[in-house]
Amino acid sequence: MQNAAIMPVETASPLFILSCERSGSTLLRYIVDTHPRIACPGHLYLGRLCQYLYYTVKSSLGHTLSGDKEKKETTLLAEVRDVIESIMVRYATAKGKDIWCEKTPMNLEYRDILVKVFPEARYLCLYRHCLDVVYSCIGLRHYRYLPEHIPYVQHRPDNLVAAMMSNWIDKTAQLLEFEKQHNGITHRILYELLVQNTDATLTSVFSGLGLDWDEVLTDQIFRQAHDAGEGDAKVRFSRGISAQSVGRGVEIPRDLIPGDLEKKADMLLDELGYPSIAQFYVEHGAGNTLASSKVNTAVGELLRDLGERKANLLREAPSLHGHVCKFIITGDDGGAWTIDTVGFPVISMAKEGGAFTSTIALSSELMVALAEGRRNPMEAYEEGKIQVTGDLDAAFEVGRILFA
Amino acid sequence: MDDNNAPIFILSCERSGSTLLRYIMDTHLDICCPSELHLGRLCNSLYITMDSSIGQIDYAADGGNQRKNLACEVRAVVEDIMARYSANREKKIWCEKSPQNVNYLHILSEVFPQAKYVCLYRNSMDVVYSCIKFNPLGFMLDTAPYVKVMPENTVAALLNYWCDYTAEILQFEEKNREKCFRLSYESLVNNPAQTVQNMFDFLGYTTEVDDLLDKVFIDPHDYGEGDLKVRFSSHIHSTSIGKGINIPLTSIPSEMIPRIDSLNTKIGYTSIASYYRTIFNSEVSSDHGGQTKNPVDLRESEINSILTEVCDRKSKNGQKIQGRCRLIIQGLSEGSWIIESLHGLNYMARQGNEEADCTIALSLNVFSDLVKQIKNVSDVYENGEIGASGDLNLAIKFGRMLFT
Repeated sequence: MQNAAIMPVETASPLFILSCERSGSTLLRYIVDTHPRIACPGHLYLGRLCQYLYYTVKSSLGHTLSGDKEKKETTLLAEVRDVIESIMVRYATAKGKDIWCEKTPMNLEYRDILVKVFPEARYLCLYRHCLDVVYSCIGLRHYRYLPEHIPYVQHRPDNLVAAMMSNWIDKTAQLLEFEKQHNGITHRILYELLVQNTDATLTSVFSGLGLDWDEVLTDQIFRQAHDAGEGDAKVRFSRGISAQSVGRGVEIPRDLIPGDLEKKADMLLDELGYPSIAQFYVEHGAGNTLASSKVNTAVGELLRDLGERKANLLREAPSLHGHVCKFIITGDDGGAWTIDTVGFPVISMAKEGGAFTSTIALSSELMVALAEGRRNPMEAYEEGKIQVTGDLDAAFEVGRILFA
Repeated sequence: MDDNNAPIFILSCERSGSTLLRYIMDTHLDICCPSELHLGRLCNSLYITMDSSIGQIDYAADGGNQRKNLACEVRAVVEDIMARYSANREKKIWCEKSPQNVNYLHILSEVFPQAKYVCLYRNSMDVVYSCIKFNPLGFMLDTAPYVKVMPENTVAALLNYWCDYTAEILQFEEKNREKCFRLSYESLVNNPAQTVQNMFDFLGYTTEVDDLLDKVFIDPHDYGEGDLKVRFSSHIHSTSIGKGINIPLTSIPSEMIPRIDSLNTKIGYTSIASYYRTIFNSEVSSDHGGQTKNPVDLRESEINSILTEVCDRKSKNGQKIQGRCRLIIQGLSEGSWIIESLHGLNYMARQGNEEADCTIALSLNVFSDLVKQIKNVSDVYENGEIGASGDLNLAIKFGRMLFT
C-alpha cells in the first residue's frame, strides 16, 4: 500500500499528516510524537496560517519587492516559511527533537500553499474506509458539527449519511489527487492496517521516511506524555491501539446511502484497495462489532474496586482538587455514588443533599463495558451514552483516570 | 513600541469609506496604510498555532502570563512584517483598515495594547445600498455569511451585518475611549478638512491638512483589496449620501427597526423613519445613471394632484379593486398616501399613514420616473426599486392601477 519511490529524509524536513476528519489522525499524531526524532503537537492549523501569512506579506512587503514575478513569489514563500519555521523549530528543539510534524485535517484544504511553502516536506496520506468515517462523524453530531462538516450538513440536512459521505468523497478524491501529483513526497497509510497490523505498518511508514521504528516504541505510545491540544479526545482515554472501531460503519442503515454517492465512493474505495460499500456490509455483518458481554458484575462492587485501585491517581490529580463528582448509574444495580478526592473512601454511596461540582450519568451495562476495557469512554460520550453536566473538564479527568 | 509609534487600526463596516480614509492616512508623511491585510485573523491564527506549539513549552509554567507572552510573540511576527514595509515606504507608522478586523478586536487589543483606533461609521441604509450595488454578482467576505442566513431578504441580511459590526465597534469604543477616535463617513465627505484635522490631532500627528487632501488622489498608493471606486476618484465628494433612500422601506422588517434606531441614536444618526422623510438633493440620491436630467421637483401637493388624476381616470373603468393600499413615497416629510375604493365606488387618494391591506414603497425619484413614463413598473420591480408588503396580490393590483 505504500508508494515505491519515497525519498529518504536527508535533513530535518517537516512532516504533514493529511486526512479526512475522523480517520485516526490523532492516533497517528501520538505515534509520530512517540518517535525520538519527531515532535507532533495538537492541531496547529498551519495550512490556514500559511495562507493568511502569504496574503498579508504579499499585500504589504510584496509591494516593495523587486525582480520578476517568479523571484517575488519565491521571496514571499520564504517569508512565510521563515515565520513558521521559527515557531516550529523552537518547539521541536525544546522537545529534544529535530523534525516537526503537523496533523490538522483541515490542512488538506490548504495543500497547494503548503507544498509551495514547504516543498521539501513529506506528507503522510492517511485513509480510512468511507463507512467507518461516516459512522464516526455522525457519532459526533449530538450537540455540534465540526466546522469542516457544516457546508455538507447545510447541503443535506435531511440525510446526514449523505452529507458525511459527500465530505469523505470530496476529501478522499483531493488526497488521492495530491498523492498522484506529489508521488515522491507522499506516503500512504490505511487506518485499518495501522490498528490491525501496527508494527509492520509503522516499520514500513518510517522506513519510507528514512527513519527507524523500534517495536519497543509501540508500547510507549500511550505511556509517553504528549502535549495537550486540539484533536480527537478519544485517544486520551485509550490504553492501547485498538481495532474495535473497524467495521462500525455497518451500523449505518443501508437505505440512507444514495445510489450516486455509493458509486462515487466505490470508485475511490477500489482505488485504495478497500472493499466496496456492498462488500463492507457483507464482511462486517450488522451487529457483530457491538456485541457486549452480559452484565454479570455488581456495579457497586466494581466501583469500590475501581475506587481502591485509582484512589491515589484521583487524589493526586491537580485539576480535581476540591472537585466532588456525582456518579449516577442507571439500570440493573443502578444508584448514585460520590467521587470525592479528599474523602475516605474516594468512591462512596451518594448521600441526600450532597453538593457536587459535576455529574456523570451512564447505564450499568456501559459501566461494566468501560471497566472491562471493552468500550472507549470518549466514544460512548460522543454517542450520547454518557451524560455529563457541571465542570466538564474535571468530569472528563475523572473519566480518564477511572477508565483509561 | 512607545505610544508615538503605535499602529493605527481603522474599524468600520464594509462600504463605509474605509478605503477613502486609508488613502488619506497613506498620504500623511509619517503613516503608511496599505490595502486590507486582515491582520486580525492573522493574529488569531498565529496565536492558535503558537499556543499549541511553543505555548506548550516556553510558557507552560508561566501561569497567568501565558496569554500575554504569546501575544508578544504574535506581535513580534506581525511587527517584523509591518516595520519592514513601513521602512520601505519611508514611513514611521503603519495603519491597517480591513473591516474584518472588527471580528478580532479582542486579540488585536491584546497583541497591540498601545494601538489607536479610528472608528468609522456610516448611515445604515447607505451602507446597505452600497453593499447591494457593489455586489451584483456576489457578496464580500464579511457580508456573505449574513446573506447566507437570510437569502430571502438581502436588505434585512445586510442590516443585520451593519447592526452586528456597528454594535461591536461601539462597544469597543465605549471600553477604550482614550484609544478611539469617532468619525462618520458623512462628516468626512461633507467637511473633510476639519474632520481630518481633528483625526490627526487625536492621533498626535501634525500636517497641513489642505495640502494633504490635495494630494490624496495624486500621490501613489499600493493597490490591493478594497474599494476599486476610489482608484477612479479625483476628489472627495458627498454624492453617495442618501442613496439608501432608494431601498424600498417595505424591505426592512419592522422588528429590526428598534435595534437599528438604537444604534443610530448612539452614533448620532437620525432614525430610519426620519431618514426616509429626508428630502435629499435629487442629483445626490438619484441612481438613474443619467436618465433623469432635471432634479425631481415634485412636491406633496403635486403628488396629490397626480394621484387624484390617476384615481379619477381609473374610476371610469369597470370593476374596482377591493381593499386599502398605503403608498409610501420615500424622501418626503409627509410621504404616505392611502388609496382605496370606498364601497366599490370611485378610487380615492388622500394623505394618511394608517394601517392598510397592503403597502407599496418607492423613492420620490422612482415615482417621478414612473409617472413621467421614463421607467415602466415591471422594470422598476425587477430592479428592486419598488417594494411591497402585506397582501402582495393586492399590492400588485394597486401597482398596476397606479402605474400602468
